[in-house]
Amino acid sequence: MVAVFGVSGNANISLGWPWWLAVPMALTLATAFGTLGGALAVRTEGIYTIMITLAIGAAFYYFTNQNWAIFNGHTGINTVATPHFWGVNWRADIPFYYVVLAVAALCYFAVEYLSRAPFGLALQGVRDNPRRMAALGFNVNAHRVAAYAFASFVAALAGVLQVWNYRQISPGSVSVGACIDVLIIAVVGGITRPIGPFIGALIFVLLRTFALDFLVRLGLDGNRFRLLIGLGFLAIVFWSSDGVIGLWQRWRQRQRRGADRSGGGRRDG
Amino acid sequence: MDSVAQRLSAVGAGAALELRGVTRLFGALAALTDVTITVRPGERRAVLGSNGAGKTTLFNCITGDFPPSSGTIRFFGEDVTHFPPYERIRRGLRRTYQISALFPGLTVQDNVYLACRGVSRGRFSFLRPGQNDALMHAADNLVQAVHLSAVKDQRVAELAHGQQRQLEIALALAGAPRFVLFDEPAAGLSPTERAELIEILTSLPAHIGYIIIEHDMDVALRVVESVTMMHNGRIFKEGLPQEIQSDPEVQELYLGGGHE
Repeated sequence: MVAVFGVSGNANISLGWPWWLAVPMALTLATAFGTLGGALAVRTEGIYTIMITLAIGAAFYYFTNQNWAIFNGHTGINTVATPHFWGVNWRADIPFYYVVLAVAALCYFAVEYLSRAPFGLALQGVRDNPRRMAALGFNVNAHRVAAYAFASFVAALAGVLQVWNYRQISPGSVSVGACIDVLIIAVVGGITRPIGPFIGALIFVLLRTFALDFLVRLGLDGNRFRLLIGLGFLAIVFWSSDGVIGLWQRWRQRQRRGADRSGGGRRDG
Repeated sequence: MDSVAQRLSAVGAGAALELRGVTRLFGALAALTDVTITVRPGERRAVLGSNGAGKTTLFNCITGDFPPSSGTIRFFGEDVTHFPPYERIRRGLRRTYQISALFPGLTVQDNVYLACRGVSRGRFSFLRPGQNDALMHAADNLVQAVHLSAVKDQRVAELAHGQQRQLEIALALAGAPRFVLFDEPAAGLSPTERAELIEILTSLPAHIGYIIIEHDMDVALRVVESVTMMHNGRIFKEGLPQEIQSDPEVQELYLGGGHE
């Protein structure tokens, strides 16, 4: 998934295209690349799917590292131009904040809306029981590939924003480490709800930002924030496979059950 | 209505389901050996046999969950042997599973809605169904038909076993089924629930045929007109329910011999 970051980066400046041409191009390329990866990955199941997607990510990282013609090797592409129009520098801190917020909100509501549409329900069906989905007339693999395509598109949007944010892109942005960060963010937040990854990202960024001081105070190397992330990840995997969201839901349920016992009526949904 | 007329004329044309020499191997083990069965459209048949007789494997071959190692399968005249499961389902074949195969994370309504959507267009639709969505209504009716209206907004994971079995049947009746495979639908049901099941089965439209795997002879023999007896992956006997029930060999093998 993160592999698409690189694609969006490349389509940008080298050819000197204006942003309104480069961005759709980048989104298209990235979505196509993600779909292709998905088409490969759906031929496998479980752990192998994870391995093949990570392998594609790793291969892409090394490719960008060694390819000078398009990706400018390990130095990457620097001083990427950012959009200026309507008299606004959209990369200036405050406008950019709102751009990112708007895109994130849009993606969130799109996913939330989609989760109740036939396509979204079908994907949840595929998650719960692919064999039964086939026995209901669904082409399960086609749905999986479509899911990759949709996810790639969302990731491509993120990739474009990331390039604008740092004004540069280098192989480091598409390294296996970056892939794993995304995975961890999703799992820690909770992969059962669209809001989960947002919470995961919040926790991740907060930890990355503030763990430094905390660790230094304990006399440890400040760069060990991954140690905290890792411990948190382990805790989540052990005690709440649906992430922080799952913890929250169970806590709510317990509250509600407590309320029921003390005389309240039973509520569903 | 046109399609119903076409279907009925096709009914006259030949068999609903025709298996010729179907064999299924798992490694060296033959789960099915040279099974040949013809079922008429609208026919209702029971498949009996002890555990390991190959009954569920037979279903899996018919639906394509796993394809036969050799032999051919025709569905309303069409050779579907190498079709993926979803293509067979879209042609009107349905099945239920012995161990409920539902979507525990979704509500009852959404489970049935998915079943309705699976056999119609717009499986990839990005638009939510509206108030007057035809498939939503179809799903409502199905939920009602299996007596689950009261729990339709509950997640399936929260349902009682009997309710899950009923939902299992609802999923198989979505759309316009022509032939249904019921894999032990009565497993684990209470006597009341069994009565409801029998009612559901006997009130199916006459053009819908089915094969039912059922250990409970009381249930099986009340809802079928013919019986196929399987043993060690082969067809052992075929006949009317009374013939099979009174057949000494069958009694020896299955009904008698301390088998309840």
